[in-house]
Amino acid sequence: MSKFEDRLWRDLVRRHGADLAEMTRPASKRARRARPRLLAGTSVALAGIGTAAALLLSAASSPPAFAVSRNADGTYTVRLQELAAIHGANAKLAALGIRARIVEVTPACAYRVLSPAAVHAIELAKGIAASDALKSSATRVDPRKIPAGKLQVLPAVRVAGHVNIAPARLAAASAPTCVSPLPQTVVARCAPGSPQRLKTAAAPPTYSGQIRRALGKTSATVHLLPTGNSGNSGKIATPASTHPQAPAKNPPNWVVIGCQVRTSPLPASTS
Amino acid sequence: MMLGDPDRGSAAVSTGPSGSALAEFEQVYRHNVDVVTAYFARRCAEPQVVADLTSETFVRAAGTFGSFDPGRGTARAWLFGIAGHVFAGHCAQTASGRAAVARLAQRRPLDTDEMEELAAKIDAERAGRELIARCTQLPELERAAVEFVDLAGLTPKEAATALGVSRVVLRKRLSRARARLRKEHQGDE
Repeated sequence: MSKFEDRLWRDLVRRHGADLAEMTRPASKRARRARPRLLAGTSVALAGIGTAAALLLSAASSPPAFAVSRNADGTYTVRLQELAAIHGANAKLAALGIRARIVEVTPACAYRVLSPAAVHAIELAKGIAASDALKSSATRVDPRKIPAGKLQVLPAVRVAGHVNIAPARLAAASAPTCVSPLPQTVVARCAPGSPQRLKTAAAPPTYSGQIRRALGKTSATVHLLPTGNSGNSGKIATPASTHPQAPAKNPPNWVVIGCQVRTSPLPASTS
Repeated sequence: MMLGDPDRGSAAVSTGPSGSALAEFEQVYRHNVDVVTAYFARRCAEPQVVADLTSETFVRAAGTFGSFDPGRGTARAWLFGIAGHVFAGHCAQTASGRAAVARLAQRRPLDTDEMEELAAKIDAERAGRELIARCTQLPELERAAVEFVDLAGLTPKEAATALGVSRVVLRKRLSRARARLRKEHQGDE
Protein backbone atom coordinates (compact mmCIF):
# COMPACT_ATOMS: atom_id res chain seq x y z
CA MET A 1 0.00 0.00 0.00
CA SER A 2 1.07 3.54 -0.56
CA LYS A 3 1.99 5.91 2.20
CA PHE A 4 -1.31 7.73 1.79
CA GLU A 5 -3.25 4.50 2.10
CA ASP A 6 -1.28 3.42 5.16
CA ARG A 7 -1.82 6.75 6.89
CA LEU A 8 -5.49 6.74 6.04
CA TRP A 9 -5.84 3.28 7.51
CA ARG A 10 -4.15 4.36 10.73
CA ASP A 11 -6.50 7.34 10.92
CA LEU A 12 -9.48 5.07 10.43
CA VAL A 13 -8.32 2.69 13.13
CA ARG A 14 -7.72 5.59 15.49
CA ARG A 15 -11.19 7.02 14.85
CA HIS A 16 -13.25 3.89 14.44
CA GLY A 17 -11.07 0.99 15.56
CA ALA A 18 -12.67 0.64 18.96
CA ASP A 19 -16.19 0.83 17.53
CA LEU A 20 -15.39 -1.74 14.84
CA ALA A 21 -13.76 -4.02 17.36
CA GLU A 22 -16.93 -3.98 19.44
CA MET A 23 -19.25 -4.23 16.44
CA THR A 24 -21.33 -7.30 15.83
CA ARG A 25 -22.42 -7.38 12.24
CA PRO A 26 -25.59 -9.08 11.06
CA ALA A 27 -24.98 -12.39 9.38
CA SER A 28 -26.16 -12.78 5.80
CA LYS A 29 -28.51 -15.52 4.73
CA ARG A 30 -25.61 -17.42 3.24
CA ALA A 31 -23.71 -17.32 6.52
CA ARG A 32 -26.75 -18.39 8.51
CA ARG A 33 -27.12 -21.45 6.34
CA ALA A 34 -23.50 -22.40 6.88
CA ARG A 35 -23.45 -21.90 10.63
CA PRO A 36 -24.75 -25.30 11.82
CA ARG A 37 -22.04 -27.14 9.91
CA LEU A 38 -19.35 -24.83 11.24
CA LEU A 39 -20.51 -25.24 14.81
CA ALA A 40 -20.61 -29.00 14.46
CA GLY A 41 -17.07 -29.02 13.18
CA THR A 42 -15.92 -26.82 16.00
CA SER A 43 -17.51 -29.05 18.59
CA VAL A 44 -15.77 -32.09 17.26
CA ALA A 45 -12.48 -30.29 17.19
CA LEU A 46 -12.86 -29.05 20.75
CA ALA A 47 -13.76 -32.51 21.97
CA GLY A 48 -10.57 -33.81 20.50
CA ILE A 49 -8.48 -31.19 22.19
CA GLY A 50 -9.58 -32.35 25.60
CA THR A 51 -8.87 -30.12 28.54
CA ALA A 52 -7.20 -27.34 26.62
CA ALA A 53 -8.66 -24.52 24.60
CA ALA A 54 -12.11 -23.71 25.81
CA LEU A 55 -12.58 -20.86 23.44
CA LEU A 56 -11.04 -19.44 20.37
CA LEU A 57 -11.82 -15.85 19.66
CA SER A 58 -10.51 -14.77 16.35
CA ALA A 59 -10.85 -11.86 13.99
CA ALA A 60 -10.50 -13.44 10.59
CA SER A 61 -10.68 -16.83 8.96
CA SER A 62 -7.28 -18.31 8.19
CA PRO A 63 -5.10 -17.41 9.93
CA PRO A 64 -7.07 -15.39 12.47
CA ALA A 65 -5.85 -11.85 13.00
CA PHE A 66 -5.90 -12.48 16.72
CA ALA A 67 -6.91 -15.19 19.11
CA VAL A 68 -7.36 -15.44 22.84
CA SER A 69 -7.49 -19.04 23.98
CA ARG A 70 -7.84 -20.41 27.47
CA ASN A 71 -5.43 -23.10 28.54
CA ALA A 72 -6.08 -25.98 30.87
CA ASP A 73 -4.07 -24.39 33.67
CA GLY A 74 -6.23 -21.27 33.73
CA THR A 75 -3.82 -19.11 31.77
CA TYR A 76 -4.66 -17.53 28.44
CA THR A 77 -2.64 -17.56 25.24
CA VAL A 78 -2.81 -14.32 23.30
CA ARG A 79 -1.89 -14.62 19.64
CA LEU A 80 -1.61 -11.72 17.21
CA GLN A 81 -1.09 -11.93 13.45
CA GLU A 82 -1.95 -8.37 12.40
CA LEU A 83 -1.20 -5.14 14.19
CA ALA A 84 -4.55 -3.83 12.99
CA ALA A 85 -6.22 -6.44 15.17
CA ILE A 86 -4.82 -4.97 18.38
CA HIS A 87 -8.04 -3.09 19.09
CA GLY A 88 -10.08 -6.23 18.60
CA ALA A 89 -7.77 -8.29 20.75
CA ASN A 90 -7.83 -5.70 23.51
CA ALA A 91 -11.61 -5.50 23.34
CA LYS A 92 -11.75 -9.25 23.73
CA LEU A 93 -9.32 -9.21 26.65
CA ALA A 94 -11.50 -6.56 28.29
CA ALA A 95 -14.64 -8.56 27.60
CA LEU A 96 -13.08 -11.57 29.28
CA GLY A 97 -12.08 -9.46 32.28
CA ILE A 98 -8.37 -9.99 31.68
CA ARG A 99 -6.37 -6.96 32.72
CA ALA A 100 -3.83 -7.19 29.91
CA ARG A 101 -3.51 -5.00 26.84
CA ILE A 102 -1.46 -5.26 23.68
CA VAL A 103 0.52 -2.12 22.90
CA GLU A 104 1.96 -1.49 19.47
CA VAL A 105 5.62 -0.66 19.28
CA THR A 106 5.88 1.57 16.22
CA PRO A 107 8.03 4.42 14.96
CA ALA A 108 4.77 6.18 14.10
CA CYS A 109 4.02 6.58 17.77
CA ALA A 110 4.29 10.25 18.53
CA TYR A 111 4.69 10.24 22.26
CA ARG A 112 6.72 13.22 23.30
CA VAL A 113 5.62 13.45 26.86
CA LEU A 114 4.96 10.08 28.32
CA SER A 115 2.59 8.93 30.96
CA PRO A 116 4.01 6.76 33.73
CA ALA A 117 2.51 3.75 31.99
CA ALA A 118 4.25 4.67 28.77
CA VAL A 119 7.54 5.10 30.55
CA HIS A 120 7.07 1.68 32.01
CA ALA A 121 6.18 0.31 28.58
CA ILE A 122 9.42 1.63 27.20
CA GLU A 123 11.21 -0.18 29.94
CA LEU A 124 9.38 -3.26 28.84
CA ALA A 125 10.35 -2.70 25.23
CA LYS A 126 13.91 -2.38 26.37
CA GLY A 127 13.61 -5.59 28.31
CA ILE A 128 12.13 -7.66 25.53
CA ALA A 129 14.80 -6.61 23.10
CA ALA A 130 17.34 -8.80 24.75
CA SER A 131 15.20 -11.90 24.67
CA ASP A 132 14.12 -14.28 21.98
CA ALA A 133 10.51 -13.44 22.68
CA LEU A 134 10.19 -11.38 19.53
CA LYS A 135 10.32 -14.53 17.48
CA SER A 136 6.85 -15.50 18.62
CA SER A 137 3.44 -14.20 17.64
CA ALA A 138 1.89 -15.45 20.87
CA THR A 139 2.39 -15.06 24.58
CA ARG A 140 0.79 -16.40 27.70
CA VAL A 141 -1.08 -14.38 30.31
CA ASP A 142 -2.07 -15.53 33.76
CA PRO A 143 -4.91 -13.29 34.98
CA ARG A 144 -4.52 -14.58 38.54
CA LYS A 145 -1.05 -13.10 38.77
CA ILE A 146 -2.07 -9.61 37.73
CA PRO A 147 -2.43 -7.49 40.87
CA ALA A 148 -5.59 -5.49 41.34
CA GLY A 149 -5.36 -2.07 39.75
CA LYS A 150 -2.55 -3.14 37.43
CA LEU A 151 -2.47 -3.94 33.74
CA GLN A 152 -0.16 -6.25 31.92
CA VAL A 153 1.28 -4.76 28.76
CA LEU A 154 1.98 -7.02 25.79
CA PRO A 155 4.29 -5.10 23.44
CA ALA A 156 3.69 -6.01 19.80
CA VAL A 157 6.01 -5.08 16.97
CA ARG A 158 6.32 -5.92 13.28
CA VAL A 159 9.75 -7.31 12.46
CA ALA A 160 10.65 -8.43 8.95
CA GLY A 161 6.99 -8.53 7.95
CA HIS A 162 5.87 -10.64 10.88
CA VAL A 163 3.99 -9.47 13.93
CA ASN A 164 5.66 -10.50 17.14
CA ILE A 165 4.34 -10.20 20.63
CA ALA A 166 6.44 -10.14 23.73
CA PRO A 167 5.84 -11.78 27.09
CA ALA A 168 3.54 -9.93 29.39
CA ARG A 169 5.00 -7.42 31.81
CA LEU A 170 3.20 -5.51 34.49
CA ALA A 171 2.35 -1.91 33.85
CA ALA A 172 0.37 0.73 35.65
CA ALA A 173 -3.39 1.12 35.81
CA SER A 174 -3.57 2.24 32.19
CA ALA A 175 -1.67 1.29 29.07
CA PRO A 176 -0.58 3.63 26.29
CA THR A 177 -2.01 3.03 22.83
CA CYS A 178 1.48 2.68 21.42
CA VAL A 179 5.12 3.19 22.22
CA SER A 180 8.04 4.15 20.08
CA PRO A 181 10.76 1.60 19.49
CA LEU A 182 14.14 2.23 20.95
CA PRO A 183 16.36 4.00 20.31
CA GLN A 184 14.54 7.27 20.19
CA THR A 185 14.74 10.41 22.17
CA VAL A 186 11.67 10.70 24.31
CA VAL A 187 11.08 12.89 27.27
CA ALA A 188 9.17 11.54 30.18
CA ARG A 189 6.75 13.51 32.28
CA CYS A 190 8.73 15.42 34.83
CA ALA A 191 6.46 15.97 37.75
CA PRO A 192 6.08 14.80 41.33
CA GLY A 193 4.75 11.30 41.39
CA SER A 194 6.42 10.14 38.22
CA PRO A 195 7.84 6.65 38.39
CA GLN A 196 11.26 6.71 39.87
CA ARG A 197 12.18 3.10 39.38
CA LEU A 198 14.58 4.08 36.65
CA LYS A 199 18.26 3.71 36.24
CA THR A 200 20.31 6.86 36.18
CA ALA A 201 22.64 7.42 33.35
CA ALA A 202 24.93 10.19 32.34
CA ALA A 203 23.24 12.61 30.00
CA PRO A 204 25.26 13.41 26.93
CA PRO A 205 25.81 17.13 26.62
CA THR A 206 24.13 17.26 23.23
CA TYR A 207 20.81 16.33 24.75
CA SER A 208 20.84 18.63 27.72
CA GLY A 209 19.58 21.63 25.77
CA GLN A 210 16.86 19.58 24.10
CA ILE A 211 15.74 18.20 27.42
CA ARG A 212 15.78 21.62 29.01
CA ARG A 213 13.59 22.99 26.21
CA ALA A 214 11.19 20.09 26.45
CA LEU A 215 10.82 20.46 30.18
CA GLY A 216 10.66 24.22 30.22
CA LYS A 217 12.20 25.66 33.32
CA THR A 218 11.49 22.67 35.45
CA SER A 219 14.47 21.66 37.47
CA ALA A 220 15.16 18.04 37.07
CA THR A 221 17.64 15.28 36.99
CA VAL A 222 17.21 13.45 33.75
CA HIS A 223 17.51 9.72 33.56
CA LEU A 224 18.81 8.30 30.34
CA LEU A 225 19.69 4.90 29.13
CA PRO A 226 22.21 4.00 26.46
CA THR A 227 20.55 1.78 23.94
CA GLY A 228 23.43 0.49 21.87
CA ASN A 229 24.23 1.47 18.36
CA SER A 230 21.41 0.08 16.29
CA GLY A 231 18.66 2.27 15.06
CA ASN A 232 17.17 0.86 11.94
CA SER A 233 14.56 -1.46 10.47
CA GLY A 234 12.22 -1.10 13.38
CA LYS A 235 14.18 -3.49 15.52
CA ILE A 236 14.28 -2.71 19.15
CA ALA A 237 17.79 -2.01 20.27
CA THR A 238 19.34 -3.89 23.09
CA PRO A 239 20.58 -1.73 25.90
CA ALA A 240 24.33 -1.49 25.74
CA SER A 241 24.67 -2.21 29.38
CA THR A 242 22.63 -2.81 32.46
CA HIS A 243 24.97 -0.39 34.19
CA PRO A 244 24.30 2.92 32.48
CA GLN A 245 27.51 4.48 33.61
CA ALA A 246 29.54 1.82 31.86
CA PRO A 247 31.17 3.25 28.75
CA ALA A 248 29.64 2.03 25.53
CA LYS A 249 31.93 0.45 22.97
CA ASN A 250 30.29 2.39 20.18
CA PRO A 251 28.75 5.85 20.31
CA PRO A 252 25.44 5.05 21.97
CA ASN A 253 21.97 6.17 21.14
CA TRP A 254 20.33 7.59 24.18
CA VAL A 255 16.79 7.45 25.32
CA VAL A 256 15.30 9.51 28.07
CA ILE A 257 13.17 7.22 30.15
CA GLY A 258 12.29 9.41 33.05
CA CYS A 259 13.22 12.32 35.18
CA GLN A 260 13.06 13.35 38.75
CA VAL A 261 12.07 16.77 40.00
CA ARG A 262 14.75 18.49 42.01
CA THR A 263 15.07 21.82 43.63
CA SER A 264 18.42 22.58 42.09
CA PRO A 265 18.75 23.80 38.50
CA LEU A 266 19.28 21.36 35.70
CA PRO A 267 23.01 21.19 35.09
CA ALA A 268 24.30 21.79 31.63
CA SER A 269 25.51 18.24 31.55
CA THR A 270 25.32 15.50 34.09
CA SER A 271 28.14 13.55 32.56
CA MET B 1 -19.38 -15.25 5.98
CA MET B 2 -18.14 -14.75 2.51
CA LEU B 3 -17.89 -11.17 1.46
CA GLY B 4 -17.35 -12.14 -2.14
CA ASP B 5 -14.63 -12.77 -4.63
CA PRO B 6 -11.26 -11.48 -3.41
CA ASP B 7 -10.46 -10.19 -6.87
CA ARG B 8 -13.56 -8.12 -6.72
CA GLY B 9 -12.30 -6.40 -3.64
CA SER B 10 -13.76 -8.39 -0.84
CA ALA B 11 -11.83 -11.35 0.42
CA ALA B 12 -13.46 -14.27 2.09
CA VAL B 13 -13.62 -13.60 5.77
CA SER B 14 -15.59 -15.04 8.56
CA THR B 15 -18.00 -13.21 10.76
CA GLY B 16 -16.71 -14.07 14.14
CA PRO B 17 -17.66 -12.85 17.56
CA SER B 18 -17.26 -9.33 18.81
CA GLY B 19 -14.13 -7.69 17.45
CA SER B 20 -14.06 -9.41 14.10
CA ALA B 21 -15.59 -6.46 12.27
CA LEU B 22 -12.28 -4.62 12.48
CA ALA B 23 -10.44 -7.38 10.62
CA GLU B 24 -13.26 -7.62 8.08
CA PHE B 25 -13.19 -3.91 7.50
CA GLU B 26 -9.43 -3.96 7.08
CA GLN B 27 -9.80 -6.47 4.26
CA VAL B 28 -12.50 -4.37 2.66
CA TYR B 29 -10.27 -1.31 2.95
CA ARG B 30 -7.12 -2.91 1.61
CA HIS B 31 -8.87 -4.46 -1.37
CA ASN B 32 -10.75 -1.32 -2.34
CA VAL B 33 -8.84 1.78 -1.32
CA ASP B 34 -7.01 1.83 -4.64
CA VAL B 35 -10.14 1.74 -6.79
CA VAL B 36 -11.96 4.26 -4.62
CA THR B 37 -8.99 6.64 -4.84
CA ALA B 38 -8.98 6.15 -8.62
CA TYR B 39 -12.70 6.92 -8.71
CA PHE B 40 -12.05 10.35 -7.22
CA ALA B 41 -8.83 10.83 -9.20
CA ARG B 42 -10.96 10.66 -12.37
CA ARG B 43 -13.04 13.53 -11.07
CA CYS B 44 -10.65 15.85 -9.29
CA ALA B 45 -7.26 17.18 -10.29
CA GLU B 46 -6.29 18.28 -6.78
CA PRO B 47 -4.47 15.61 -4.73
CA GLN B 48 -5.75 17.09 -1.48
CA VAL B 49 -9.35 16.91 -2.68
CA VAL B 50 -8.87 13.31 -3.82
CA ALA B 51 -7.43 12.50 -0.40
CA ASP B 52 -10.27 14.26 1.42
CA LEU B 53 -13.00 12.50 -0.56
CA THR B 54 -11.33 9.10 -0.25
CA SER B 55 -10.97 9.62 3.47
CA GLU B 56 -14.57 10.73 3.79
CA THR B 57 -15.76 7.63 1.94
CA PHE B 58 -13.96 5.25 4.26
CA VAL B 59 -14.85 7.19 7.38
CA ARG B 60 -18.52 6.86 6.41
CA ALA B 61 -17.99 3.20 5.55
CA ALA B 62 -16.37 2.51 8.91
CA GLY B 63 -19.23 4.23 10.70
CA THR B 64 -21.89 2.20 8.90
CA PHE B 65 -20.05 -1.10 8.51
CA GLY B 66 -22.41 -2.69 11.01
CA SER B 67 -25.28 -2.33 8.57
CA PHE B 68 -23.37 -3.67 5.57
CA ASP B 69 -24.77 -7.05 4.51
CA PRO B 70 -22.60 -9.01 2.05
CA GLY B 71 -25.66 -10.98 1.10
CA ARG B 72 -27.08 -7.92 -0.62
CA GLY B 73 -23.99 -7.02 -2.63
CA THR B 74 -20.23 -6.96 -2.52
CA ALA B 75 -18.18 -4.59 -0.43
CA ARG B 76 -16.93 -2.86 -3.56
CA ALA B 77 -20.44 -2.11 -4.76
CA TRP B 78 -21.34 -0.84 -1.30
CA LEU B 79 -18.26 1.41 -1.22
CA PHE B 80 -18.96 2.83 -4.66
CA GLY B 81 -22.46 3.67 -3.52
CA ILE B 82 -20.97 5.62 -0.61
CA ALA B 83 -18.35 7.22 -2.86
CA GLY B 84 -21.11 8.42 -5.18
CA HIS B 85 -22.91 10.12 -2.28
CA VAL B 86 -19.66 11.62 -1.03
CA PHE B 87 -18.90 13.07 -4.45
CA ALA B 88 -22.44 14.37 -4.86
CA GLY B 89 -22.12 16.10 -1.50
CA HIS B 90 -18.79 17.54 -2.56
CA CYS B 91 -20.32 18.91 -5.76
CA ALA B 92 -23.20 20.44 -3.81
CA GLN B 93 -20.79 22.07 -1.40
CA THR B 94 -18.63 23.33 -4.24
CA ALA B 95 -21.67 24.84 -5.92
CA SER B 96 -22.67 26.61 -2.74
CA GLY B 97 -19.15 27.72 -1.93
CA ARG B 98 -19.05 25.71 1.29
CA ALA B 99 -16.52 23.15 0.10
CA ALA B 100 -13.44 25.08 1.10
CA VAL B 101 -14.68 25.71 4.62
CA ALA B 102 -15.85 22.14 5.07
CA ARG B 103 -12.58 20.73 3.83
CA LEU B 104 -10.50 22.97 6.01
CA ALA B 105 -12.42 21.77 9.04
CA GLN B 106 -11.78 18.09 8.35
CA ARG B 107 -8.59 18.09 6.33
CA ARG B 108 -5.49 16.17 7.21
CA PRO B 109 -2.76 17.90 5.25
CA LEU B 110 -0.83 15.62 2.95
CA ASP B 111 2.91 15.42 3.16
CA THR B 112 5.11 15.63 0.07
CA ASP B 113 5.24 11.88 -0.55
CA GLU B 114 1.49 11.50 -0.35
CA MET B 115 1.00 14.51 -2.60
CA GLU B 116 3.26 12.94 -5.22
CA GLU B 117 1.54 9.56 -4.95
CA LEU B 118 -1.86 11.07 -5.50
CA ALA B 119 -0.63 13.33 -8.29
CA ALA B 120 0.67 10.22 -10.04
CA LYS B 121 -2.67 8.55 -9.45
CA ILE B 122 -4.51 11.50 -10.94
CA ASP B 123 -2.18 11.43 -13.92
CA ALA B 124 -2.72 7.71 -14.37
CA GLU B 125 -6.46 8.27 -14.56
CA ARG B 126 -6.12 10.76 -17.42
CA ALA B 127 -7.51 8.29 -19.93
CA GLY B 128 -10.42 7.61 -17.64
CA ARG B 129 -11.14 11.31 -17.31
CA GLU B 130 -11.10 11.66 -21.09
CA LEU B 131 -13.55 8.81 -21.45
CA ILE B 132 -15.82 10.36 -18.87
CA ALA B 133 -15.58 13.64 -20.76
CA ARG B 134 -16.66 11.84 -23.91
CA CYS B 135 -19.62 10.50 -21.99
CA THR B 136 -20.96 13.88 -21.02
CA GLN B 137 -23.62 13.65 -23.69
CA LEU B 138 -24.87 10.38 -22.27
CA PRO B 139 -27.59 10.17 -19.65
CA GLU B 140 -26.21 10.06 -16.12
CA LEU B 141 -27.03 6.42 -15.51
CA GLU B 142 -25.36 5.31 -18.73
CA ARG B 143 -22.30 7.39 -17.93
CA ALA B 144 -22.06 5.84 -14.48
CA ALA B 145 -22.56 2.35 -15.90
CA VAL B 146 -19.67 2.78 -18.32
CA GLU B 147 -17.41 4.14 -15.62
CA PHE B 148 -18.20 1.52 -13.01
CA VAL B 149 -17.93 -1.45 -15.36
CA ASP B 150 -15.37 -0.36 -17.96
CA LEU B 151 -13.13 1.84 -15.82
CA ALA B 152 -13.54 0.81 -12.20
CA GLY B 153 -13.82 -2.89 -13.02
CA LEU B 154 -17.04 -3.62 -11.20
CA THR B 155 -19.19 -6.45 -12.47
CA PRO B 156 -22.54 -5.40 -13.92
CA LYS B 157 -24.14 -6.88 -10.83
CA GLU B 158 -21.94 -4.77 -8.54
CA ALA B 159 -22.54 -1.67 -10.63
CA ALA B 160 -26.29 -2.26 -10.48
CA THR B 161 -26.10 -2.51 -6.69
CA ALA B 162 -23.99 0.62 -6.40
CA LEU B 163 -26.33 2.59 -8.66
CA GLY B 164 -29.49 1.24 -7.11
CA VAL B 165 -30.97 -0.27 -10.27
CA SER B 166 -31.76 -3.78 -11.36
CA ARG B 167 -29.22 -5.85 -13.24
CA VAL B 168 -31.46 -5.90 -16.29
CA VAL B 169 -31.67 -2.12 -16.39
CA LEU B 170 -27.92 -1.82 -15.85
CA ARG B 171 -27.11 -4.19 -18.69
CA LYS B 172 -29.47 -2.39 -21.06
CA ARG B 173 -28.05 1.02 -20.17
CA LEU B 174 -24.50 -0.23 -20.42
CA SER B 175 -25.10 -1.80 -23.80
CA ARG B 176 -26.77 1.36 -25.05
CA ALA B 177 -23.94 3.56 -23.77
CA ARG B 178 -21.27 1.39 -25.35
CA ALA B 179 -23.11 1.44 -28.66
CA ARG B 180 -23.32 5.24 -28.60
CA LEU B 181 -19.63 5.61 -27.72
CA ARG B 182 -18.68 3.19 -30.47
CA LYS B 183 -20.74 5.13 -32.94
CA GLU B 184 -19.18 8.43 -31.85
CA HIS B 185 -15.71 6.92 -32.08
CA GLN B 186 -16.38 5.67 -35.62
CA GLY B 187 -17.72 9.09 -36.51
CA ASP B 188 -14.54 10.73 -35.25
CA GLU B 189 -12.47 8.47 -37.49
